Amino acid sequence: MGVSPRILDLKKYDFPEGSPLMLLREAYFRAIPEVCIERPELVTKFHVESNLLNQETISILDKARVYRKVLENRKSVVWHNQAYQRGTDPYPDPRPFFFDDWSPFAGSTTSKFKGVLLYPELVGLMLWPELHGLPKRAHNPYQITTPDIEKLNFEIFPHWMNRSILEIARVRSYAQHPEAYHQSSEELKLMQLLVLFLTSKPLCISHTIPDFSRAIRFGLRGVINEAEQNMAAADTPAKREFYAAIIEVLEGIVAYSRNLAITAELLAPMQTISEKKRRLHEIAERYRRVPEHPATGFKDALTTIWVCWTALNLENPNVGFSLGRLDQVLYPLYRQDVDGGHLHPTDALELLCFFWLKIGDHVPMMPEAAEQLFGGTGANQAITIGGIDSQGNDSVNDVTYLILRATELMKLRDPNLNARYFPGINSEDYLRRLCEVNINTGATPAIHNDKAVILALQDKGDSLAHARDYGIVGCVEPVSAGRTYAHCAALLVNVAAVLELALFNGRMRHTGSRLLTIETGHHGGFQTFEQFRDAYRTQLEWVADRAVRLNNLLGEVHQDFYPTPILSSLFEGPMDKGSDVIQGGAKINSSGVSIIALADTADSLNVIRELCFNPAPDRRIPLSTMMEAISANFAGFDDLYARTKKVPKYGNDNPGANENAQWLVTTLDAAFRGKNNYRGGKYRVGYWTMTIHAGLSAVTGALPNGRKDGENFASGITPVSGVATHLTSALNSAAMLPSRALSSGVALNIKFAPEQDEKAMLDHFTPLIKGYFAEDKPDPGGIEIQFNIMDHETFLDAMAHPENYPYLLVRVSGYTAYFRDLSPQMQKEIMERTEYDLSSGASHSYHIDPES
Amino acid sequence: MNLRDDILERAFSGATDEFLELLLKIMGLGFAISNNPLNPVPALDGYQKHIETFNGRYLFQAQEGVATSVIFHRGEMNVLDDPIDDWDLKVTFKDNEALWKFLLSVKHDAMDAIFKNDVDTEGNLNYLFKFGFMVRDLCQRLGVSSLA
Repeated sequence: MGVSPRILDLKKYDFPEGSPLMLLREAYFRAIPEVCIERPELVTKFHVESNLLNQETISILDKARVYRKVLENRKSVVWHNQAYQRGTDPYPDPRPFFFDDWSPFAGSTTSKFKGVLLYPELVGLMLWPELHGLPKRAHNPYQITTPDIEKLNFEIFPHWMNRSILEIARVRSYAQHPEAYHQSSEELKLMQLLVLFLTSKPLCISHTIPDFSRAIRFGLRGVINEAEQNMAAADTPAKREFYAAIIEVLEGIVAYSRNLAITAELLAPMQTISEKKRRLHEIAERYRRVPEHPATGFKDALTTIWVCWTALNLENPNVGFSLGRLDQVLYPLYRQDVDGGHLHPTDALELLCFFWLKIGDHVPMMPEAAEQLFGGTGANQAITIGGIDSQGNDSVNDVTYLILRATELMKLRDPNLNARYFPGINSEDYLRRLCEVNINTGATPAIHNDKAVILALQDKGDSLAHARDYGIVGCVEPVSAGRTYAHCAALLVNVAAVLELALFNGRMRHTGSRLLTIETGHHGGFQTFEQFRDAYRTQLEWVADRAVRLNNLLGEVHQDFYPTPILSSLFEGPMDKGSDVIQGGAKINSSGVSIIALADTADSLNVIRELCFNPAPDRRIPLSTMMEAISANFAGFDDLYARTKKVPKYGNDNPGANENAQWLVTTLDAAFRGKNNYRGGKYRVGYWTMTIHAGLSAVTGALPNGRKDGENFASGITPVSGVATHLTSALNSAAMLPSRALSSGVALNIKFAPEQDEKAMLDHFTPLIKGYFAEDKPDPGGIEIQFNIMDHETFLDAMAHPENYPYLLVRVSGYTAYFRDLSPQMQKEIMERTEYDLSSGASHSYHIDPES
Repeated sequence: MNLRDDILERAFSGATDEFLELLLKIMGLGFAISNNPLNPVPALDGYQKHIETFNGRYLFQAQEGVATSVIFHRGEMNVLDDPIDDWDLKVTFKDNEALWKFLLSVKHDAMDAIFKNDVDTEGNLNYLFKFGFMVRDLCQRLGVSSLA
């Protein structure tokens, strides 16, 4: 697929300050999120009216009727004109401000300009104790009004106290053991420790990519007609009910779109500016046509996606819910419009920028208590560009470049841009442009090696055509777009905690002598390193088994109480099978596990092998001494501490040191890949840690690799900071991990210092990625890489004066975030990452004093 | 600092071994005063509405064994010095400071308390969230600014 030369010129195209787009962007950054109670209020009202909260299960048709009513009754806001900004001393309360909204896209995910969505069915009630304090939170304040607090407290939350997903699962988990009434299951108790594993099902499933192509091509009316035909031909009541549910929700989306059109028509005569009047009439005309009917142009297609997106977010929490390969979905209508003279590329660029602001119009609900683990996260709505098509052809097109420029101009946290690159098929100019956008934004896009990703997906059973058509979910997780119901972040497992279980015979230091898992041998009994590693494997398999059991239990509760007709209507598979995605209706089903603390654990195994099981007796120290040392945080063990630092580690490009990392990755893949999920799919493993590695490291004791109490874990598959003193050795070690076992994605975080000579920097940047992605048969090369390009002094200044850096974009371990919004521990982790000089590959490490 | 402020400070600061006892007494007083037609504390108007239709049974148990039970039923709040069996939520805590951090701190202390195994919960966590709101609402009404 070729790229028009004039598209390449757009990389220097700017929108003037003071233009409607840039003014709206300014308002966007100024606005703090406002808690929106519209969804919880309507959802609660219609659940109560239909007596659904007293039922043992909620059918998909009942759920669909609720969503239809919500869509029909929600406020149709065409343009916003008011938001709230942070308060400042001596007036800490948020203050309202006003602005002009000229967006071509009407409607919003919430009733607010930038809203916080609440799902009382899930973990919305966690916000309950904090409602009064939300506007004054030091980190990530939310505006909320007193009447809304009253409604949540008296009219909404009480209905869900016994009907949230986690509570239903908890009751189910002990239902088979009446003697243990009130007791949580073993799995729930383990999760409540928070340090071993977490499952995100109480919070969401999401983490998938809908299929917008049929809505664009046939319109929702076309899908409704298909559902009616399927319903008439259905051979079971369950299928008939499914198709009836699809019709309900799609009629609801059409009604919402019509309501927006009506509102736009009502607003038009009130405008004094003729251009605004014209725009409102155009919006009214367009929203009457799409998404109900097929999109006839580029703007129509974006409108269809946008309206469907608001509906999808009504049903599914906005966590890792992703938009897929937008350049592929949008290109045919873009080409048609441009060739027909109906659209200029700069207009398409402006539409994409307005669309970006819409995508970022909401944030996930984050209680103060969860800030330590997840602070600063956005909704992680990934967009994927580039790569190859399902036939293996270069699929980079003009829209790919427009999306890159829109990202560069907007510099938003959401959407989270991910670029695919197939070595040898995608052009080097394209790769160079990806590097250039990284330099200009400092943090995006993440770059994925198509060759390695496609092989990894095939290894898990995806067909070649489906694997080639992958998109990125949430942070960095690849799934076949529009047809894989993946829930990539179903489980998060801390493998450093598993190491502690192996060392302390099924116990952890902070819980004392209580046996948490199983006994796999007293430390004095291990005669060889292999025996110790076997104990580790046994602990890991035991934990994996319990984690999967809990995830499946929660999945079954979702199946019974949280049917998902809206998502099912926009997905490949359910319309053919007559079955909800939550019941296994998708073409491909999987669940994902993300691993925390890979490098620290691999390095600890290296140190244990080298120091505690060294073949030379005079160089050997007892494992018990190592355990004493880590329990004392190495106080009084200075010599041992120094020796831990000298042991070769993952990141040194040392085959022996890499072996434990490779063993861990392979063992984790083996532990999970054979397990069945509740939808008939299998588990896949990935290594992207978001901000959780920083949160967990703050409460994890010292480890054998020389990591002391509270020091940060390394992120994703990144070597521990300071270990890889040269860029090449870091990349070589990461590239040696078996990519087939990394099918749920990885984050390799590399930090560069900006250089004065940008051209020289680019000249080094592109070959670096080509080298990392280079095939070394049978290994297809590194799988993913992402960057922070910012000098240390700027980070220091941003930490000291966050008010001066409201939009400083950084890559955490996976998604992009605003540095200011991160927890201090996560800010420290980013600052302490090894910084490399791109030209020479030399490194510099920083240590941030926790007291500073 | 007058007596009222002193009591509030002691109750909500966590710097006392009597934290839970004081907290529950003030909550109970808050509900009683709010329910009184001659309510002398206007800030407490409507506070009783929190428990008008709320039934909930809580057990707070120190790790060394001392237990306090709180029962909300038909608009009444009752505190018992004995453990109840049929609780909706059981909170086991290392000491009063840990419990204070878990219930009231506005920082990350609630998560820290769980991470450090200083506090453990059993039962329906939504009852914890409800209780937390009632406590913080009381702070808000009484002007305990550090927490409100």
